Amino acid sequence: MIGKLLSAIFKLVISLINLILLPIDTLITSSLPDLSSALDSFSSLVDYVINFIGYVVDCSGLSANAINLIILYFTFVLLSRPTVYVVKLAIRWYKALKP
Amino acid sequence: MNDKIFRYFLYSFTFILLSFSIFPKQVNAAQINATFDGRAVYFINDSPYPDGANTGYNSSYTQEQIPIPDASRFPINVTGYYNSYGNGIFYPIKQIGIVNSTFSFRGGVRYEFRFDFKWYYNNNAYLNDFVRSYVLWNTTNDDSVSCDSGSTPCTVRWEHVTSGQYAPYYTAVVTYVPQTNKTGALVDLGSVNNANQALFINYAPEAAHLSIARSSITGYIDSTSDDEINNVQDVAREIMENDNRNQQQTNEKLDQIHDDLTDDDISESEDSAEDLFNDFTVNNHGLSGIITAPLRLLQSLSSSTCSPLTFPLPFVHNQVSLPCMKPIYNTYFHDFLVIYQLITTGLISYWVVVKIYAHVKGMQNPDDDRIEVFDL
Repeated sequence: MIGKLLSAIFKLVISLINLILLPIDTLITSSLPDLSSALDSFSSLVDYVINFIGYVVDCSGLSANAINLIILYFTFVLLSRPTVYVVKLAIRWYKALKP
Repeated sequence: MNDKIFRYFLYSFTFILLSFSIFPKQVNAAQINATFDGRAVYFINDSPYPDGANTGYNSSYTQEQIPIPDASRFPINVTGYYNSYGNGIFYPIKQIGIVNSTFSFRGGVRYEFRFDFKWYYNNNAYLNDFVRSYVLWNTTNDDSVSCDSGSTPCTVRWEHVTSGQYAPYYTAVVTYVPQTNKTGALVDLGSVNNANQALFINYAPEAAHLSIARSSITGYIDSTSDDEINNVQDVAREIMENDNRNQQQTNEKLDQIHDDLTDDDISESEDSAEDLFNDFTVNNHGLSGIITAPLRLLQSLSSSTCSPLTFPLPFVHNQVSLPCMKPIYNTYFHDFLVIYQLITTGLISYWVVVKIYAHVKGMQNPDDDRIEVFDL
């Protein structure tokens, strides 16, 4: 249940980031092709590493609960600061806009 | 949002349930009610009693439309004419005529037209009685007949009902039997300007207002023939089966709605929540690929499954295949694996809790210059 929820959150966040950065990516691809291929090679490295993650996790013998805890921690670390920032921003806007 | 959706479904369901009680099922013109006491009722087309209907009589008008209750379900329009009639009669006469109506009849079936005339009394009522009653049943086709009381093939009789909810009322019962060899005959029951109105009722308008409270057409097959009765039985059965089938479909739909409303199984929602984002486009190129790299790593951790690794050995033409280790651990080191997982899960849990606490404390640190501090 939590795993599926996390997967849904991941997909949403990745898609939103893609959407926001789409103009910049398009600009880099069209104007700076060498930089674009350098950035793509980093993405390719990450994709290559992802292929082995399954085997490594299986080899480590860790239980599914431990894996989920690690994922939970890193998710929290990655999302907590932006979430707090957004909440504070919303409160600031509300205070500025309320009559 | 969820509350609004729930309330919407609740109101819709309640309305559907109530509609079956408030909106009565309409009488089908072809409804067959088979009673086999020597005759079979072919069909009934019945209009109900209105709720306090009144004609609104006005003597200054020479023509007055008499409302028929639920006229759309009754094929005959009735218009009343105020006719100043001088010879020997010193008060006005009102005539009720059935005009501009066509109705399809079947030969050999005895049709009975019933018109319940409701009389509304004035405060200073005169004699509330018929001055003269003359009934003419006029049809304009090959079966044209004009009949009065006692004539054939149509007869007229009057019934005076003095009790009941809408009493007193007079009922004119006109019986008409088309010729046996005629089927689907269209009958024109009078016309607007035709002096030979289909049905005449003369009365003293000062005494009362007149309206037709109820009208009905019933067809009877007066036959002892088994074929006739079987035919009607078959048709009646077919219509009842159709009604049952329709009712069954309606009941199934209602049951489905009820099951959907009361279903609290959310097991499919978990998969749906994830499938919702399946069609989101993912671009792993360029800047977005770098920024989303950690998220993709985490996503692969949560959804990763082991597949055996194969890679070629250098200097020899051979492939090495590394199998997944967990089945091997389970087979040969099961107990050790359990203890190992217990210990590692405990250590990782402790480490995660400590790190989360430290992370939150770090966010409160005012000297932390990464993002604005946790100061609400």
